[in-house]
Order: sequence, then C-alpha cells, then structure tokens
Amino acid sequence: MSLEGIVTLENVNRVYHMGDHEIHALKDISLSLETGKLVVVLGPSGSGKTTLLNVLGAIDKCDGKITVNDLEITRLGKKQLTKYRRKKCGFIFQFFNLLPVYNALENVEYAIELATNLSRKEVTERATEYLRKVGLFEKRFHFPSQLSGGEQQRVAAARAMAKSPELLLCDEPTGELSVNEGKKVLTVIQNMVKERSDVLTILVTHNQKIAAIGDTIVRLRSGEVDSIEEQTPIPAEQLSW
Amino acid sequence: MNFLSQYWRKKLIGDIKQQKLLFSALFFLCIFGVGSYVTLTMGYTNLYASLDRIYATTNFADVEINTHSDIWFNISEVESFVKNFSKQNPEVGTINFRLLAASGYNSSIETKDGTRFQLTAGRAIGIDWTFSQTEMVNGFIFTEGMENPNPVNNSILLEAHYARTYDLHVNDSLQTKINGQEFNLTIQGIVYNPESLIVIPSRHDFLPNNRFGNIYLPLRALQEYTNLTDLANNIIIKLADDLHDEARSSIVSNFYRELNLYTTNSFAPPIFQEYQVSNWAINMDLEEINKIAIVLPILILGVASIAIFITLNRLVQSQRRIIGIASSLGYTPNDILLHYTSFSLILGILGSLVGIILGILLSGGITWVYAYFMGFPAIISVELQLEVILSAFFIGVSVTFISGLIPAVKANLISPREALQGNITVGKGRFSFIEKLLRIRSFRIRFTIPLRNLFRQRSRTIATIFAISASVMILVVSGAFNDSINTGISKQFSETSPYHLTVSYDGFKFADLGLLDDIAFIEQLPGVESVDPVLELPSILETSSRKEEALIIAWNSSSPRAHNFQWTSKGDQLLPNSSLILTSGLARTLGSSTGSILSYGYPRIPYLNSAFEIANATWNIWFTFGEERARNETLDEIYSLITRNKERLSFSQTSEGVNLRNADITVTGVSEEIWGSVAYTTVQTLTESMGIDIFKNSHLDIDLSPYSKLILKVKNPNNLTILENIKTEISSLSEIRSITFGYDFRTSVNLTMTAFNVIVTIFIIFACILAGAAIFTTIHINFQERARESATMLTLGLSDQEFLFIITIENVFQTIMGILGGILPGLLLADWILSNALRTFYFRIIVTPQTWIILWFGVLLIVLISQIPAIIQGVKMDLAEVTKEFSH
Repeated sequence: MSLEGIVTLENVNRVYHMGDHEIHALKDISLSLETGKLVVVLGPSGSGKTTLLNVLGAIDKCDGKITVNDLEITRLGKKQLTKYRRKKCGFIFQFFNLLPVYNALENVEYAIELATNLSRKEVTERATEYLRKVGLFEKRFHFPSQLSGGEQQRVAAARAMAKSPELLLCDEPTGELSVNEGKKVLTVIQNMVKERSDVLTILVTHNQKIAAIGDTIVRLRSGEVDSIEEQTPIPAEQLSW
Repeated sequence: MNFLSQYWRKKLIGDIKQQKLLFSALFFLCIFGVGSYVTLTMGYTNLYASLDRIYATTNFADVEINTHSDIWFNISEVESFVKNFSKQNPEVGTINFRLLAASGYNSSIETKDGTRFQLTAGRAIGIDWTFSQTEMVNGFIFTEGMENPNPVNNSILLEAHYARTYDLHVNDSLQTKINGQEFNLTIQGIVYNPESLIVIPSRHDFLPNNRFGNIYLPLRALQEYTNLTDLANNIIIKLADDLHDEARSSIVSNFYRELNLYTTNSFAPPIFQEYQVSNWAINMDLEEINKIAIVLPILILGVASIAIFITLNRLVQSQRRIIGIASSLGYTPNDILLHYTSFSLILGILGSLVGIILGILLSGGITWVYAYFMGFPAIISVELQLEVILSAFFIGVSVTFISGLIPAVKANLISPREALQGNITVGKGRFSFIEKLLRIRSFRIRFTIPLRNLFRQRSRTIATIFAISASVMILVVSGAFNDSINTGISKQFSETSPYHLTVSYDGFKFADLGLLDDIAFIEQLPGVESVDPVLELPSILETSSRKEEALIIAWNSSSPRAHNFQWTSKGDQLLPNSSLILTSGLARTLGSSTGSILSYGYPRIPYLNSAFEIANATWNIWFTFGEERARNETLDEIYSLITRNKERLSFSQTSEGVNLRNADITVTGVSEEIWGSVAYTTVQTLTESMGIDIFKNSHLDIDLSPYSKLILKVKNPNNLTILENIKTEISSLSEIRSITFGYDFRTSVNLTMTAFNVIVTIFIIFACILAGAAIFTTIHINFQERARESATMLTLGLSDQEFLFIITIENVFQTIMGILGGILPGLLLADWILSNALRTFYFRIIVTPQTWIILWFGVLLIVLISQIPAIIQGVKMDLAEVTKEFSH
C-alpha cells in the first residue's frame, strides 16, 4: 500500500486497559487517505472505527505514526495538539454537541473565531454564509433547544466546515436522526466535500447503506483494516435505510 | 430490615463513591452546621451551669441594698428590723450587713523594664467573720489559704484577679490606703467572690480591670479604719431557693419599702442579682454567645441545605435514564423515593453524629477558654446535655432530609416513558441581560459564555450568590466589629483623650484644700505638659420619655487640655456654664441632640452643710485675731473635718447609691466617643447645683470645688523613666489613691480585646470554610453538568488557559455579586449587634480599607482555590469519551 496523500497512518495501535483486561481497539493500522475524498469507515460495534476517528482528531492517544499534511500529530505536545484541533480539524459528533448557551449562529461563530484571526464582523458573515448553505439561515438565532435533531446536526456541520479544516471528522452523524433528517445532513456533508477539494472527510458509521455516499470505504473488523474499496458515490438524497 | 433492595443499596454506595469529593464537602458543611450549634449552645449552657455552681457554692446574694453614699446605718438598729421582717417573711433566707469603703494599694509588678510599683484603686469590704461559710452570703472560693480563716485586725482576704496580676500570695503584705490612712495588711487567703468573677469597678468603669483590688477584712477592723464604728452601708440578702420571680420581687420591694420607712429613706433602690455588675457583664457576654449560637448554625445549615438541594437535583437529572429503567423493570416509586432521600439522610445522620461529637469536645474548650480569659475559679461545669444533642441531631437530619426531599420527590414523579426519552437540556441558552444592556456584540464570542452560564440556571446562580453572601455577612460583621472597636478605641485614646497619666484621689480633693497646691507641684515637675483636674459623678439624665444612667465628667475649664471633643454637628460648642456635652452613644440612647434640654441628677452632700456651719463658727471665733488668721484656722478646721471623715464625702460608684436632686441643663454639643453613657460639664455647673459655691460666695471665700481626678499630659510619653519619676513624685502627695498610666489602661483594654479577637478569628475561619464549600459545590456540580460541552469546547480547540479563564470569570462574577449582596446586610447586622449588645459603649461602624481589601481578595482567593479541583478535572478529562456521552 502506498503511503502518499494527506493523511497517513503507520502501524497505529490503541490499547485500552480495563482493569486486568486489555482491549486492542486498533491493531497495526496503516492507511493513506487523500484530500477531496469522502472516506466512510464502516464496521460493527467495537471494530475500532470511533477510536480511529478519535486518534485522527487528536482527542485520544495511540502508538504509531499519524501524519496530517506533513504534520506528525503523534509527536505533538498538548498545546500543539490543541492548535491542531483548533485550526485543522472539524468535528461532527453523533449527539451534535452544540453549545446550549449559544444560538445557531454563535455556535458556528465560536468555531470560526477559535480557528481564524478574522474580525468579529467577518466571523459573523462567514458563519451566516455557512448557515445559509445548510439551509438554516432563517433559524440562525435559534438556540439548540429550539431546533430539531437534524437541524442541530446541520448547524454542527456548518460549525465544522466554516473554519475551513483540513480534516472533517464525522462520528455517526445520523445515528440519532430519522431517515429524512439523516439524509439532509448527509447531503450537506456531501455537498461540502464537493465544494472543498482540500478537505479530507472521514465519516464513521455502522450503517452499510450510508457507505454508498463515500468515495472510499474502509472496513474495520476487530481493530484491523479488513478492506479498502474505492467506489463511485451516490447522492445522499437517493439513500434509504 | 430491608431498608433498600440490594440493587439500590449498591447503587447508593456507588453514587457516593463516585461523588466522593462533593459528598465530602456536603458532609463537612453538615458537620460545621451541627458542630457549631452544639459547640456554642453547649458552651453557653455549660458556662451558665458553671456560673450557677459558683453562685450556689458561694451563696451569691439575690439582692443587694446600699445606703445613699453619705449615709450609714447602725447595724444593731437595722438588725432588729430585719429579725422582725424575717419572722414575718420566712422566704427571706440569710441577710448579711457589710461596710464597703474605697481603698488604694501600692503594689509592685514585674515588667520588661524591671519592677515597677503601681498605685491602684480598689474596694475594702468589711464582713462579719463570725458567719460560717454556709451562712455567709457572697462567700468565697479559696485558691490559697485556709477555708476558715480567723483573721486578726491586720489581715485580709485578697480577690484572686488582683492577686494574680500582682503575683501576691498568702502571707504577703499589701500596702493599703483606707480613709486617707496607710496600713500594711497581711494576706491570709486568695479568694474568688461571686461579685467579682469579672472585676468591673462600676457600671461606668465597665472594662474588666484586674488592677482593681477587692479586699475582705473583718467588719470591725474596717469600721475602725474608717471611723465608722458600729456602722455599715450595704445589705446583702439570700432569699429562699425556688422562689418565683414575682414572689422574689414582691418580697424585696416590701423589704425595701419598710426598711426605708424604718431608716427614713436612707437606702438606694435594691440591686437584683441580674444587675450586679459582674453578673450583668457575664450575662451580656453569654447572651452574645447565645445569639451567635443561633445565627451561625442557621447560616451554615442554610448554605448546606442549598448545596444538598443543588447536588441531589443534579443527581436526579443525571440519572433519569436509570430511574426510567428501574421504573420500567418494576421498582416502585417508593423504592426510588427512598433511594434518593437516603443520600440526604446519610449525610444528615453521619454529619450530625460527627458534628455532635466534635461539638461536645469543642464546647468544653469554649467553656474553658472563656473561663480562662475571664479568670473564673476552677469550678467549670462541662456536661453532656441530652436535649442539645437530640435537638442538634433533629435539626441536622431534618434540614438535610428536607433539602433532599424535593429532588427525591421529583425523581419519584418522573414517568418511565419520559425518563427513557431523549437528552436533558441543562438550562436553556438565552442572551444574558447584561449583554442586552451593554450591547456586547463586539466581544469575543467564546468569552461571553460565562455571562450566558450565569443566566442559564438562575436559581442555582442565586443560591450560590446567596451562599457567598452569607459568608460575606459573617466576614463583614467580624471585620466591622474589629475595625469599629479598634478604630474607636485608638481614636479615643490618641485623639479624643490623649492623656498619659490619671491620678485618682481618695474621694474628693477640694480646690483650696490642697488641690491647687497639688496642681502647682505637678506642673513644675520635669516633663509635665498639662494638668486638668476633673470631677466624676454618677448621675441620671432624663428626657420627657427616656431616662438613662450616666457618668458626668466635669472639667474645671470650658476647654480642657487633655480632651478634644469630636463634634458631630456644626452647632456644637465647648462648655459654656450650665451646659452639658453628650457622648454620641448617650445622645442616641436619650434621643437628644444639640439644643435639647435635659433634666440631670446631682448628688447632695449634707455633710458639707454641717462643714459649712462649723467653718463659719471657726471663722467667727478667729476673726478677732485678723482675717488671715481666721482664714487659716478655718481651712485647717475644714481640712481636719474632711480628712477624718473622707468616707463620708465619697460617692458610691453608681447612681443607685447617690441621692440625687434634679436640675435642667441644655445640651450644647455631642461628641463622638466610645463611651455609651458619659456626659461632660464644668465643675462650676456642678458646684452651683450642689450648693458648694456657698463657701466661695460667703465671707469665707474658700473654693471648695471638689475634684476626684487629675488628668496629665506629658511632653514625652514614650520616655518611661520620666513617667516613672512623675509617678513617684505624685505618689508622695497626700490623699492619692491610684495613679494609672494611659498605656496601662490601653493594655487592659487590649487584653479584653484578645478574647474578642479569638472569637473574630473563629468567625472568619467559619466564613471562609462556608464560602469555599459553597463555591466548591456549585463549581463541581456545574462542571459535572457541563462536562460534555466543556469537552466539546476543548475538542474544538479551546486552550486550557481559555478554559480556566472562562470558568474563573463565571465564578468571579458570582463572587462579586455574592460579596456585594453580603455587604449591606453584614453592615446592618454589625450595627445592630454593636448598638444592642454593647450598650455601655458606642462604636460607629467603620470598615477600614485594609479590611475591604482583605475581604474582597480573601473571598476571591477562596473561590479561586475552590475551583482548582474542578479545573484540574476539566483539563484532564477524556475528551473522546466525554464528547460522546449521551446525557449530562
């Protein structure tokens, strides 16, 4: 396997200690993933897919080597890792994780403000633009408690993309949503991928059907890469599950 | 007993283990609340029990009746009246007759500058030594010497406080001055007496003064020393035990009425035990402890209950799913209710038990510390008080149980469907009021989160602010007490009364009978700057609606050099004749101000009238030999009359003992001073009222204005050698009873303040713990509740420093609100306590800038320290795990 491209993982291992037990969540993972692609990581529960996402997002530790655009994140200290997450990673969580004290616009502004040096006005403009893209311009002043799950996840998607990350990490983004809402969220993600050829999007799911929207499917089993498939993605609107 | 099913028991233990920090904080709050209640209530009750034991052991008089100060009664005459009265009223137990006389001592004391002698004042008490210890009213507890002494004429019993101050023991000799004569008396015993458990010379000399020496000697000896053969001036009565207040009061008023009929109004009103000056002072202290015993536990338990409520509410919220699952599996609502109330019950029971044990141990300490500082005899009663223990347990458990009941009921009301459904929002987001008000739109968005958080769960924010305010109230009260009293005392002695030496005479010294010579002698001593003679008299001041006992200090000039009045209004002015200056405390009590007209009582001295007649006769006899001869002989005659009968010219220290007449007087100024019952006038005003000016305004032309003290200022008060030399020279003058250095007086004031400072320190520690526990609980809960969003913020790239900043700002804001909320109630509470509890003093509420700085920074520091555990937990949390948690 070639180790060229934006993100490379070499012999990545992650072992959890639960009392006397050891759980090998990732076993010698080596991967190379390219910019502009939507990579779907597929696998059953406990296969290590979320752990893979966590180590890529630098919110979990691992052994081995991970390089993102020539930056070896496995060698970074705590401050540099914070900077890495702030500037280079966009996160979409299963449970949306919007900050409840902020409205939709502010949630997006928050991420932009952390990642960039834009003025307050520019931050607002960019946040508004992204909310428009995800179809929530009208609800930009709504607080999370006033939004449906799907709407919240679209705000989360806007928040993740508005900061112009190099890596967009989506962890079961439809896990808590209805099919319709899920499709809308996936469409948003897919559209963003199309717009941004400099972003690598990694979407973790256990849903085989959702894998159809990806350019690449990485199958994990028991912490190991089972297979990597390239495919022609289908639009998210056409999915049904 | 199947109190909880195995599942809930395990869960309970698990939850407690998981929340051990929080549980510990709540546990300590319970301990502090219950502990402070037990400590102070039992300390208070133990002190009362100790007092009761001391009073029972010594047969403390139920009532004391003194003659007016210029009258003595013949013991055998009154004895027959008393026998008759007792026959008709068997409730009258024992009656003793005593003779009280002013005395002075020359004692030496070891200081860091070597041995110094001191002339000190005191009281000689002549008692009938034939009584056995059980028959004697106001008997003794011996610390040294025989319990049944057989004193000869030159031996005495010495009160223990004075003996301890001057390191005097049995068989030591005490140089004593009584009625202008000096005696060397041998100490036969060192004793405590119920009248002087705290040595306070009089209600006007109300600071505890261990340099005031009470000596007890045989009645006949004192009668001999004072030329008052067969006479006495004090009756002490022990009534039968178990007499109701009403019966007691009725029997005493009958006794007093009939006694005054029998002796033609020779007696001043009776002084009941509760108004006896030492007992009165102790009771004031104990009442303070009692008030604190109520207020402090209320504040602490109040904060504890808020903290428990917040914690359990949060626990119920976070365990909605568990509650839902349990309900759907068939656990009854009672199981759930029982489970969540168990938290508060465990807290209440454990906290109360530990608090009670600690309280019992500390209450013994409080009793001992108070008794030690006040110099009580070693009869200290430390008893387990079942009713206090039971009430503490009941209060502790009830408060915690009720605080936990509401969240538990809430848990019980959650339906399984509702509980199993969806996420829980932790307070809704909203624009904060402040943002709207200040239009903070240009503010960095990540820094608006503390403001939003504050308004997110308003009830919790208010509860936290309330808890901080409660702590701040205690701190403000402590600080205001300390500052007001210290500043007041310091200002009084450095600005208002900047004197360095006080010389007290035996009774009075009259202007033309040596006083002017004394002043001339002292003024030429090296180092003396000024000498002001003063007359101090107890009096009663009256307005149309109020009546107040007061000490009148009369100066010989309208502008004394050793006193600077601190005027409170522009219209105030120095003393014109027939005018009075009130101290601000007295003005407040009387409701008077500049321009008010008061009635004041002045003493009559009938002896002076007879002296005037004798002087006139002497003048007439010697006038044929020339005016100068007549004058000299008359002065000699008057001098001889007075020195032989000095006791007949001295006033009692309290107004009860003085037969007063009334005159109107105008208030021309109000001076802000620490004394709560002092007024100033001129000697001329008093002598005119008393009719003493007849000597001056007759052909005799003798100024017999009486003075009781000389107030001295020296040029270099820090030079102890000069001060000692001045004292030595003055002590060679006649009729000097005591000489007190200004700094000696301040030392005794400071000593009194030591006990007070200990209490203030304890208060401050309590307040700090309270503030710390309150903020720790809230931060901890807030943190747990917001763990996922904190993790999200950190995942999105918020740095640890920014995270710290956000949390700190929120807490600092709550703290500032708490401090602001606690200041005004604290100041009002301090003012209320200072004006109600310390009636004999007046202290304007002052909080110094240093105290404000310490208060603000201290509380903020506590808050910053209290948030450390939560912040450490925050920056160390597992972001991967916490960002994926379903609910909070």
